[in-house]
Amino acid sequence: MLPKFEKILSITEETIILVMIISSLLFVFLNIVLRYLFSGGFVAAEEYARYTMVLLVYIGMSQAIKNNSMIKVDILSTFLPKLQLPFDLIANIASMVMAIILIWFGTQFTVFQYETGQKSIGMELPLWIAYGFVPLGGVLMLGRYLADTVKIIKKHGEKKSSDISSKGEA
Amino acid sequence: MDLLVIILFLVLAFLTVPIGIALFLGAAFGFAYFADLPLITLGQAMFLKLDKFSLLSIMFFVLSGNLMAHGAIARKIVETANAFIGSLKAGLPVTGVVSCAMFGAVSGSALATLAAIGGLMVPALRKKGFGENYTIGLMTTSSILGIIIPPSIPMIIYCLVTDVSIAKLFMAGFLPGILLTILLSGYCIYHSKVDKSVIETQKFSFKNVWKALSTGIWALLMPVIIFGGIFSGVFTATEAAVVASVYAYLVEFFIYRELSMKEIARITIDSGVTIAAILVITAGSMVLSDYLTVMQIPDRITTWIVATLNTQLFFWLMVNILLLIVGCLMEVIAAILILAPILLPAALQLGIDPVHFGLIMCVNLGIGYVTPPVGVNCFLAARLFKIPTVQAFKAILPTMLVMLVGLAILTAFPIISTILPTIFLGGTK
Repeated sequence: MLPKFEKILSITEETIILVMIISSLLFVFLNIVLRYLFSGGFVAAEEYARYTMVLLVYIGMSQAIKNNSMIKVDILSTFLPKLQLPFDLIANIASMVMAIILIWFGTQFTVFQYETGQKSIGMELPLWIAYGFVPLGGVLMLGRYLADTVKIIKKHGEKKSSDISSKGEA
Repeated sequence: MDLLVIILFLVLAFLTVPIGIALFLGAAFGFAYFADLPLITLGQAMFLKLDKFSLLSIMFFVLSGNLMAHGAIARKIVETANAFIGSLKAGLPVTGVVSCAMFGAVSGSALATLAAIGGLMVPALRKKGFGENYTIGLMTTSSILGIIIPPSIPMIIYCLVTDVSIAKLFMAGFLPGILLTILLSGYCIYHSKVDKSVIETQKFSFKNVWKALSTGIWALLMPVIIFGGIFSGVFTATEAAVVASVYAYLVEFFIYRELSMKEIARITIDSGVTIAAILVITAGSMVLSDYLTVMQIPDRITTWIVATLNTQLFFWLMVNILLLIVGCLMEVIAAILILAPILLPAALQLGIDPVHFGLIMCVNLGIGYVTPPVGVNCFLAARLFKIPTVQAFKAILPTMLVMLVGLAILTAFPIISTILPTIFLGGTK
């Protein structure tokens, strides 16, 4: 059940990333062409590109956590491979704290925007949707780090039991 | 006491917490304990810090860089450079350096340059019998040219926090980039005199040059479009990045046709993930930088610097040493976002040019890309060329010394960076 859900989530995330990059590239490009040919253009294109970039960061981050491609300093754990597990656990717990901050305060701000009912200038998108990207990112982040934590604990457990069994054979 | 935040960030970062997250947590702690601000602003900041048009330029320069690195454009650049200089003494290593410089003129990232040019040149050099450490060290260091020759992501970041004009800083990068290219090429020629085990055989022919130019022209037009657009004022840096990405898609898809639809989609998605990983650091650094500003830390440091290091010479000595150390420990984008607003006011008070200062900062932190313990270029080199990271750190030593000489020259002669913007863009302010 869970692996299947993860697969669907990943495919959805990747598709959204692809569509967002290509669409915002096309909109901004079209806007440049329009400006030089007809000195026209529309504010909405720039705004669309900015908002999609924010969403891209939060969805892309979910993928980066999954692929373990977040940029980090792993010099200590490289030289102290025995401490890999505690390092990984500390890093994951700290990251989950950030996810919770994003969810908690992000939601508060989104609700605040919803109550004021402001809309963006270009696309007239209700601003609470845009601010909602932050708690959404927090939820994705929390989920990814929870899954990762379960994975590393399981992996560690397997390694330990295989160590014991190999010792038993010897 | 309020600087505890920086220590918390460093501790978290060294405990392998992703850098962007460590920066954010440091700032969140600071806002909660030292600053008198409602924490709801954190939820707002993580949207507002990313909602910036100029950050789109980073996104699209990463995208176009990745497309060129994985497609045919990078190889066309190497072929063209090789047709011109491959026949000279130490021709092939010099080709490697010059290709990095040329790729630097279309891409804004040292990592993309290493993946693109290093990935092609290291096997080619090894085949000719050049030593492993020499080859890998040379290409890993030369790829720093990717961020000194414009366009450059660190330069965009510097301009984002200091209000220096991107066009001017880009223009300022050309001569220093050429100087470093010449120094690195000089090192190659010196090395070929010492190490006589390699014999160059390639002959110069106009036929080769013509062949390389006729297919490479599409790749060579890229910098013309980017710089023509930015310096004539036709596009902003962000728009140049957009045009470069569209051009890269068109050239790879319709002219060179080596990438399938599926590969192009894969490169695009991977670029998206890379962009997210970079921009999380950007957002985290900006929140931390906000905290420092709220606590008036830049003002305190400026006052201290101006009072203690009251000449440019001492300031440059201190800044260069500080930045080299910071470059060793910290991610380049985070370092610029946090340190530029702290150091620039002091530099201005001492009469240092903001464009020159930005350039030195980029060269300095660029050297940080190859120095241990956090030399991201060495990590990538170790992975690309399948050697231990420690060996990569040893391999870059001689070329890193060459870069340090270049840095000293550039610091001592500000005119190298300021002359082009002064002539063509009417000043540096």
